[in-house]
Amino acid sequence: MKLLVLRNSANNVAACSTNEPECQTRCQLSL
Amino acid sequence: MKFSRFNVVIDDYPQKGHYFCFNTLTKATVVFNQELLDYAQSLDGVTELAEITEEGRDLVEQLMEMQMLCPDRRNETDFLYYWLNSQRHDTQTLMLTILTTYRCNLNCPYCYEKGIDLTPDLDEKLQEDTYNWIIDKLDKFNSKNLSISFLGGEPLLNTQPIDYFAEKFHALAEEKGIGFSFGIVTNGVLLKPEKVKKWRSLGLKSIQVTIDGVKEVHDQMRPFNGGAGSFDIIIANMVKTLQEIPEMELSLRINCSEDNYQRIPELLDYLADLDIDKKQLRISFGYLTPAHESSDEANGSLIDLTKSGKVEVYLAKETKARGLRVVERSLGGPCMTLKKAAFLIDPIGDLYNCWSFVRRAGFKTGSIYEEKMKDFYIEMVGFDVIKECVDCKFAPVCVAGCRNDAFIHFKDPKAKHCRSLFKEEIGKELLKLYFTPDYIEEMAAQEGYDL
Repeated sequence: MKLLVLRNSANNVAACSTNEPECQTRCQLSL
Repeated sequence: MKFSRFNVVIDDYPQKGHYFCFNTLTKATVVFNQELLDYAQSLDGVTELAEITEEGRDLVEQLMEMQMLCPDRRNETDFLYYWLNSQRHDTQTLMLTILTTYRCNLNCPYCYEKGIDLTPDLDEKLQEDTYNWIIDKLDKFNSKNLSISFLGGEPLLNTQPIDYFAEKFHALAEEKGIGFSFGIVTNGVLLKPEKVKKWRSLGLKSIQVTIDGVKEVHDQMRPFNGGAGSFDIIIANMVKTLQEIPEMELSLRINCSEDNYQRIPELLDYLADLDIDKKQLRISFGYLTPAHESSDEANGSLIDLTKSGKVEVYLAKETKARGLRVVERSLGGPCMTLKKAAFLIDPIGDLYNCWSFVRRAGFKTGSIYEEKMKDFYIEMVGFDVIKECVDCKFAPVCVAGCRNDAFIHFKDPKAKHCRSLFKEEIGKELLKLYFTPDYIEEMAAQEGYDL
């Protein structure tokens, strides 16, 4: 096998929805 | 066929002769070997799938689906704009932030809400009006999902609106078949498992609590209004909540400054020793920036954002070394400021498009009592945010940086604000920490890939 897929396309990566930790992380606010 | 210019490739990772590849546009992530690399390069000039042998076609199709490989003639900049504009104009999910109060029980010197009028709290009348406004917006946007973040001030100083909205929208979601979830960003001082249990049954998905370093540093940075430290009470509440609700995860944001970041490994040691399942914590780092254009009181301790990438790599490494989880930074995408279906609603029904813009002159985007949105809303959804970044591989992740930082540094919320966090060298270091050799080996064993 030549290809190992660790994460498939993007559909499983939701857009930033502000209550997700990933979004809050992107945000630089001093909370 | 050609390799996408959005591919970030790490040679000889996780092992010699293998290549790690992350596509910043689709976020697809793969590992392939030399044989596949040679094969893909041999496709240079091939324009039709039919020209490819049947054996290779599946692989090529898979790589094209993930947009790692694309036709020679594709204009990837147009694809970037298509993706970004779709994200910005998508109304499938209505994303709201509701401030239940501007009041706070802590007095952090760097707070971005410092100096603003803290009255009134969100009351019952405003609550109902807000509910009706949301129902109307869901209808107009034809949204299928509703996502709410409760914020303040300290939102747990006024929990009645959280109960109200959670109950109402949970019921509405069941009735209409729409998706509903919510999160709470709290300082943790009033966090109680009883409340969390109840809210979880109504759709609570995430809680974020913030710590500013080891106890002595945190207590200076996040004191109560009377001056006492808040570290012990926050940790005790967090531990009790996570112990009583073992399936619950909590996002722990650790704020960093020049003064405290070198001692953060001490805090990580402390966190790793807490009597909870380590998997329940998702750790992320925040970098203190000037809160206002006029604020320079904490400037001495601020981390220069051009260096923060290196600090993030250092801290992520230390976090992983203790078996703790660190939140992946590589996902990104446009934030609420740039999106059509994202609104912050404050306790008097004023609308904003960023948490840090609240009650600042000129930054209001509308009101729940006015049909017409202000120019600032239209412009932030409509302007070409990446015009100076189209050639940057990390544009789909960084999206020209933070609008608040752009305003603070350049007096222009539309300016590009480049951060070293998303430069190639740092990006690669971070990817290696999110996708560790151990993790890749485990996946390879499961999938039958020969490393």
